[in-house]
Amino acid sequence: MAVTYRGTAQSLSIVGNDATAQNLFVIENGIASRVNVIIRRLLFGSDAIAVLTSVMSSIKVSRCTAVSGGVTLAKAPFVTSETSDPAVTIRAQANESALITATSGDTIWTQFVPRMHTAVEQQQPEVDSENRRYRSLIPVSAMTTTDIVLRPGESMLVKVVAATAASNAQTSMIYAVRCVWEEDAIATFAISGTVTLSGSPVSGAIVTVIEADDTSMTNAVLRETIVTPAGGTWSSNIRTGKVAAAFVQYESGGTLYTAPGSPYLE
Amino acid sequence: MAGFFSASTFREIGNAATTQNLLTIENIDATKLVWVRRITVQMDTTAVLTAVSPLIKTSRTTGVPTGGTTLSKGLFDSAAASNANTIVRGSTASDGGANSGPTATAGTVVWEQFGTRIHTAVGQVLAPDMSCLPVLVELENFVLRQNEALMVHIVAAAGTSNPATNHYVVNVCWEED
Repeated sequence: MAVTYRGTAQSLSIVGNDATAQNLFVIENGIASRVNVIIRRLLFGSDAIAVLTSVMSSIKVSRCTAVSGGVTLAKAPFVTSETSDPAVTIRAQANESALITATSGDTIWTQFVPRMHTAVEQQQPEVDSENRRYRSLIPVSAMTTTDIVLRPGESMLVKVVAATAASNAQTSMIYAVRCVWEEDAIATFAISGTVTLSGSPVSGAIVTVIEADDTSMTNAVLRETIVTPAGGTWSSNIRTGKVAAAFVQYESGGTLYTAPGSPYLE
Repeated sequence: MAGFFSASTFREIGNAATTQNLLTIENIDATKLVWVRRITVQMDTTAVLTAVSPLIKTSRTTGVPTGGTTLSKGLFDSAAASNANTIVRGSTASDGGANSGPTATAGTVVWEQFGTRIHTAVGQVLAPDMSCLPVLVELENFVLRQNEALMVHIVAAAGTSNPATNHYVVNVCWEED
């Protein structure tokens, strides 16, 4: 398919959490996405403003599940005419107010977090964030580009793992995480219809579209809900190889309406 | 199934000996090849060492490694599954845990690199990536055929040069046909 979006996202500065584990950042390609996410760059900066004489913490990257929390980061496009799929979400922790919950999977790559053994002289939180081999959280190559792909429903987690809680102290560690990704459109087919009542188009009706693996509705997920405009039309697109079902609800003057569903749209 | 994969060791602590095996990657498949694309070591030393740094060497092995901790493999794409006959081993099953293997006999050294040390315990300590293979292998295939393996290991001038206050993480990235 074709790349439909390229962009970046940056976390806020995130302080340590006085614990041995801390979820910093998640790239999430939601189940309703119509793209594959290809991660091109994923890296971190860190500043240790207090002395640590024991072993430095690690940052581990893995695929993850059960993601929630954090703050949703703004997506900065390379080209303003391109639009990111709304199901692609980049999250970061916002200190105590917005923690990220996620279950990490098999580690893909690990990086140590520099530390300050004594508080003297210059500290370099980062040298050049675009030095491709410096603090990269994925195994990028200097000469080749290899796709790390997040398909719909998949996510990737950046997580601090510290030897002791004191190694990741709130008063000493500050992190920043950033990424570059591309979105590659996946094949879909279109479904559409018109909501009518007594033969007249209905605006304001809610069309709920469900997508599933097969006609037994295996792994059914909510694709989207659509509020019909004037003319009562609605449309959606479904991943090739999946099936869809749609049904309608409408309320007018306190009267509730529904309509027979449209199952097995293939 | 063809694709790219990676693995990381847990944080491994120095074993106070002149040799220490950090990571092995082996291919025991009769028909499939493994192309190693990148191996890096990062190192933290929390104690002063005024003698020479340990060398980090990457060698082919004479025989297939045994023991150690079989590491989980990270997927670049969930549509590709790594061959079960590609096996990556580290020395510990937890960060900072006890070392136990892997066991292998080092053959010809492919690449070597000095580790880091702190001559005096002052200032900032960085942990840059240290490449354990020439960058060229990203483009030119470095091949593991059936029952071939690569090992990343420490060779220290003295056991005191590789104390338990040394910490290592090894990452490896490879491609399967």
